[in-house]
Amino acid sequence: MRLADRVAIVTGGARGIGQAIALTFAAEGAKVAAVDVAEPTETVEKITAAGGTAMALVADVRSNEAAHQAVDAVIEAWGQVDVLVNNAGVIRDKLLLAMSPEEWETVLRINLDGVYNFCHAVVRHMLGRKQGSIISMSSYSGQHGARGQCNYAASKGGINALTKSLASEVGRKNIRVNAIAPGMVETTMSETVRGFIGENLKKIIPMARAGQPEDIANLALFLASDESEYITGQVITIDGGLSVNVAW
Amino acid sequence: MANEEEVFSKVQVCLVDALGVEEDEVTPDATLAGDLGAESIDYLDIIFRIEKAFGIKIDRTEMFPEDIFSNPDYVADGRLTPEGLALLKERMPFADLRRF
Repeated sequence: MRLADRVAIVTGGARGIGQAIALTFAAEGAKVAAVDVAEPTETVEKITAAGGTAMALVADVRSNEAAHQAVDAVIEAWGQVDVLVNNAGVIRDKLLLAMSPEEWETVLRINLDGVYNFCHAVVRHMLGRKQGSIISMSSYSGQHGARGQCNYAASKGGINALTKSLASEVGRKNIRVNAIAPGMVETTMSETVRGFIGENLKKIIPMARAGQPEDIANLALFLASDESEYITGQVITIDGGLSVNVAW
Repeated sequence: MANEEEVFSKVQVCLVDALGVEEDEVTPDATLAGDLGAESIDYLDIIFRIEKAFGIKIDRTEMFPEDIFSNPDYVADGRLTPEGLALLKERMPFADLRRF
């Protein structure tokens, strides 16, 4: 059990990658608090049906107060927080010229402010534990950009910079801060884009397939566990080779 | 109400836990940064531990008045100006600032 006696918080834990991470962590012995704007009951039901321990929390990651309340609820129930996965995120894809201020704002506030809010709430408890692992969900587009995703790419680029900065601040306290940058993953969020790409997906990705939420969850598990205890401040790409696909 | 010795003992535990130093290094005269090697994150760690140990809330600026240290009116060439020192004494009347 790679996360025995650990407590993990997963934002955006109701479905997709967040749910996969929550289920994987619970299967490895962690108590998991799944946080989402829609109560993540399905995630909690799946965990408890498999014999694990979980709680569902409703919180809007845009609110610093809500983040602190969610973390306080976990501390009150289980006394500690060892792992935070900042997975909550949305897309509002448009070319910049067509993108409304609201579409820009929403993505930045949820995707980037959410990371700040939950880190702000959790770090003080990790200081007390003298250990912790914070994992934030970045993206291929945060490093490379993506047409129609100025807002999304900016939020993920921001997560990359925040990850490195925070890692530098808290490293001496044995708190590690890393980010995962997935390429194309098979979730409802990427359904439209995958539909557009169609069979071409097999040409643009060397491993000829989209990633599965479980692929991302396996990397998150490694970063949450003691096996990665000397890794911090890193943005780790997991994309089936998408970012290195040069075909002459 | 705890006496000075009891208070020091509790504070000592907090500093040992936060800074990873030995108990005998934490003397009443030891300085956090100079003698005990504290950095910025350590000040916050210490505050959180003391708040928990004593059941109190500490204003962040009480321990580290950043508005003074980051103000060019109060710090010049890496040293406190007379105005800065006067304001610091006012803000931290409990601190021994004779070395400044």
